[in-house]
Amino acid sequence: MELYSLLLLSVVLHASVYASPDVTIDKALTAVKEADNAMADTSYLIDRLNSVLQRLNDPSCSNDYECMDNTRIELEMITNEAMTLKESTINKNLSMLMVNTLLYAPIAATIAAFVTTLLYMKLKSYLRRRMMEMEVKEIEEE
Amino acid sequence: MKKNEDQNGMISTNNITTLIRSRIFLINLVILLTLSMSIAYVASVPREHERFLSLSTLGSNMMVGDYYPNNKKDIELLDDIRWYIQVYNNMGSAEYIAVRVKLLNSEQAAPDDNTHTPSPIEHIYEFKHLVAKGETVTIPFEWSITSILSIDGSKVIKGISINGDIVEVDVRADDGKDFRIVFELWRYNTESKEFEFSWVDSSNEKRSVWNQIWFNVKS
Repeated sequence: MELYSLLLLSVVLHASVYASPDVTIDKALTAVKEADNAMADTSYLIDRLNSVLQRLNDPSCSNDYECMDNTRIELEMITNEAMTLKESTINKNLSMLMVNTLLYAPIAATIAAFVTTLLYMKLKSYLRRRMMEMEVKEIEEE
Repeated sequence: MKKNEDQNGMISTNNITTLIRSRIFLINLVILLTLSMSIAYVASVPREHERFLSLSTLGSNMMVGDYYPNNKKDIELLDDIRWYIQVYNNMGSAEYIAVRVKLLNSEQAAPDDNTHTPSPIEHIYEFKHLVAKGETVTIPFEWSITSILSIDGSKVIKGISINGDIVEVDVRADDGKDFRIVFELWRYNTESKEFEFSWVDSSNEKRSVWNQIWFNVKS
């Protein structure tokens, strides 16, 4: 009975070693895709993920416990980094949006409004002055 | 207006205050503020774009052409042929893709563009790659026929070398004519956890991509 339990346990552990990377690949892929959707630069994560995928497709690694374990750890690291990257990119984009909308846009609008008003007043003043300086000629009627 | 300007036509501090307090300045400011804030918001929001994946097969010079040795469709045993497969990802995020290579004759079913189903024939080789958004991946495809059998006027390809790997196949064609290599683009779906031949584009239409190159076998 004990032998049977041990055998069952070893089968379960063996299966989990092989099953876990697949699950983590999906997690890593999803995390990278989400980071991409948040407009993050994921190129370095994609390079790392590609090398991990290559390793997983290599039979010499998939039959090696240590290699599979290292791969699983790296996949988890990629997942975590992608999630952190996503969060930081969202925060960065949000703060950039706030700065652009609440700081730069009002400054630009104020300068533009000042300049356009000044130009408008200058033009108006010039036209008025010209009108005042016009000579009035009397036209004689026949 | 004379009141707002000094004798040289310059604006003084007093006049700036008057200008800022003027109705025209306030109207201008409100309009330009709305406009600039809208522009700042629109510029920072990601725009919806057409989502697609493309697959192209290029010849030995990485151009459309030069697919065969001596520019003839006839390929002989152990002729080294070099093609390039290019995949471009414009899906908006990274895509894990597989290019599945199939060897078919003219009678075997090719992928169907209407139903978006792949060829039912099993693939003989597969390239997998994670493609970053907006990136093009070029995969070298070097192949040669390593074994041919002639049976009753037909030619049967029994072996192919692809990028140094020998693959056993069994595809027959009358007189060795009209064999084809089909490249199918498969996309990994993280929800179904499977590679899928078709996907939905930005206009909610089903899409699939594949290429084929015909050749004859001469021995």
